[in-house]
Amino acid sequence: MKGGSSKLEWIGGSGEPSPAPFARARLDNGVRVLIRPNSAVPVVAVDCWIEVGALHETDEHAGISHFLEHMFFKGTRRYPLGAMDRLVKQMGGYNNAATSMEYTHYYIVAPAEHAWNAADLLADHLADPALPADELERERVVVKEEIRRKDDSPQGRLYTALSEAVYGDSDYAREVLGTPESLDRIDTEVMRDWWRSNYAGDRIVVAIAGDVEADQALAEVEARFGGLAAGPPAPEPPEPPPVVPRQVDVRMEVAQGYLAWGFTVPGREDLDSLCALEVGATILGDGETSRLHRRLIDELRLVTEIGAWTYGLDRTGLLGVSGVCGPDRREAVESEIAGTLEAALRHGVSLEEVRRAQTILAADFAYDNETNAALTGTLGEFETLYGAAEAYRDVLRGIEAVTPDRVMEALVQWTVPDRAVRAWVGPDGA
Amino acid sequence: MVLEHERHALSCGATVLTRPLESNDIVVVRALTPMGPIYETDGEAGLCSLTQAVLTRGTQQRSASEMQDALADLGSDIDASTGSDLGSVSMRATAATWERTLDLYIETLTAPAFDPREVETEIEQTLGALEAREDQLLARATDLFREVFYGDHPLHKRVLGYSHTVATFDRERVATCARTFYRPFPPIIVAVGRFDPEVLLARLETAFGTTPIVPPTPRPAPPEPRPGKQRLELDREAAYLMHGFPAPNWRDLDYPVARVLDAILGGSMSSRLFIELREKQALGYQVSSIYSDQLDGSFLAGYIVTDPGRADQAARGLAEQFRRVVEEPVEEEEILAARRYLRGSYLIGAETNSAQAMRLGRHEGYGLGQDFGARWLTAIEAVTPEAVQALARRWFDREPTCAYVVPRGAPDF
Repeated sequence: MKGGSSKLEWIGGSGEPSPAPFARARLDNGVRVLIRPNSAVPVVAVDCWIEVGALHETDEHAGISHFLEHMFFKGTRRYPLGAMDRLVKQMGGYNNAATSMEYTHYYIVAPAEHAWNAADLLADHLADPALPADELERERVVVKEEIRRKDDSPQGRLYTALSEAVYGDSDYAREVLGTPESLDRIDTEVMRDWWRSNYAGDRIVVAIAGDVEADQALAEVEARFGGLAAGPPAPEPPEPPPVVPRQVDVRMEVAQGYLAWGFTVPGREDLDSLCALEVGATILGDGETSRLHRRLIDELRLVTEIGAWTYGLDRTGLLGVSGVCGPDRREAVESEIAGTLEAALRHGVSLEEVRRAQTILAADFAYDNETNAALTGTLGEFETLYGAAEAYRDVLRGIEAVTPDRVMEALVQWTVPDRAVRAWVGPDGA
Repeated sequence: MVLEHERHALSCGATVLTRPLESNDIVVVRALTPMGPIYETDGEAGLCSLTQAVLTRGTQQRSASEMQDALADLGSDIDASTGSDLGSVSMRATAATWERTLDLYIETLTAPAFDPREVETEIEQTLGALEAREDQLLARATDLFREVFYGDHPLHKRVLGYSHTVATFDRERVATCARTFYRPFPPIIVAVGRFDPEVLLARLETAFGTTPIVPPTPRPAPPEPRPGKQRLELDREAAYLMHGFPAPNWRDLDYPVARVLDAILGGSMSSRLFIELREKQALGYQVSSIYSDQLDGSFLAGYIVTDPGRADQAARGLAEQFRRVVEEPVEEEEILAARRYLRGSYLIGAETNSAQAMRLGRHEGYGLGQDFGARWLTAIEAVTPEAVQALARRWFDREPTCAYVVPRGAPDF
């Protein structure tokens, strides 16, 4: 193995809770490498992140990042069609991929002895995807089937409706899967251009966690990913659209009603507000001790499910409340959601509630980082979206620093019920 | 492949398996007891599941909300659920909070309140969840498949039950159900993670005392699987097809062969079903197999979510893949890949403390022996193409069980 020139920078000491300690290096072509040794089980996860998603696309070719994610598995010059899946199976591992508004990632989890074969497969598919025309035609049908399946799920329809209601016709409303029409406009040339212009150095992060030794891992990764084309960082995300309170209703043959409220809140660029809102959402609607659960389930038995959550893109975010209820209870449920929010806006939240929310969020973070795949997921996502894997510490510290006043201030500023954007999926006649 | 552990017996007869680990900060304790639809009559469908749900909603010392607050303040969870024949109550905490969580966990197991108001709340929640399940079409196809396959055997029922059964339950039924299946305590406890086994054992010993745990309710006779086809029409976009056959149970000699065959048919994105139906024919996005391997009544089924206009082609495609393994031996290379896949998946499947506790608990709960996994993983080394074909002939050369959920007015096939 030829030695590389990249140096590892260690982050976090051995006493620090997971996902630390880990090491980072930057290859000459701009690719960032994250290595998290973990000898608990002889398993490894290799996870490649590319900062490209639906937000970077045009409406004309909506869904191309996700379509490319499907085409990624269609072979290279070195690895013919089907080889990736076959070889991963022979390793005793599994591989998969996901695409979102802001990123695409590909991962293999396998017994640790296969770590570098897994890395080799991913590197070669990133560097040299074959993108064969006949496979593109077949895969287009598969992606359309994926759209159909999503449209059959009430939750799938609900989030599409909420996204439309919040983001109108802006880039932020673009469907990750695209539309049947936009998929029809994508040919191999368009696909290859998309790959070439986005799968390049500064937009790529390779995260490895598992039973590996860091210096060797860096050398192995550099030998395989060091040859990827260099390229500039992702462009700045577009300006978020102004928000107009509105409502979108979808009718389908379902037994229950599915509702969501969305409030536009700051994105990751205002981490302080996002942390306060995260604590606020936890108090309002995360788990059995939350206000919405206590009121709508324990006291009134109005809903089957209720929850509040936050979702942060770079320049904009959402605080959402979503629930499932009998279709005839919609009005009562919405009135109770509004009442619960108004009480928080008027009287604030208690120190006890804030402390409990902080405990819940810290414990969830620890539980969510147990497997190697989870570790590469956290590190890769933070490096890709925040520009530094260790930014998860800023989020944890930000949450720890939140006070009741700060929660109230953030809720008052962003979650006035009249400004809610609402989506509903229910049966005809409800 | 055997998870190292120590075995202990409490004075009441309960078995405790401990696996202390230093690899992370998490502690999982899981208690298991035989329960679930296999022990329910049709009129009791969902009673075990409801009982498990109410079990965690308050004790004689603490209301449901006080218990929830206490757990949330520790960042810990206590969950209870049941499968078709084994129930589980588990706690998850960190090394710093596990002892305080254990006290709450023991209180849940030894002094549940079954408060009538909490029973009513859980009944309402279950009725809603049952309606929401009606909206999940792959789940409906699976439910339909089980109804046909198991006929009138207790395994045909949904774990959650049905609205007409759940609506009839009350506090008394729930308390009786708990007394029936916790006799009076769960017979198996498993702990995995960063904890002190001596502390755990001492607390359990004190809490459970010396009154012997009564042996479990006898398991009903095994089902006789049934072929047949059922079709359900709904106003939706896609068609959901399941096509399957009975398959070997855990104690059957050809169980390891069935694992190999399942890996060839449906395991991973290089399986036959995925390659033939998705990659070559682009018939659907979601296509795989389910091997519902059990003590008895196991089945192996292929499923696909497809365009209703091509549902007949997809149904033929599923049938064809089963016929192919009956008629032709699989390739030696496929067996080799399947072996490695099964060994790797088995390793990866026990990465979390919770998964390890589940594996130890299931092996114990079903009386399979803790070397069960190691045994079948060794046995797959000797599986040959002839053995796979012999298995396919024995189990799949018959009329299949099929469940189809299709858009209204879709052509018959």
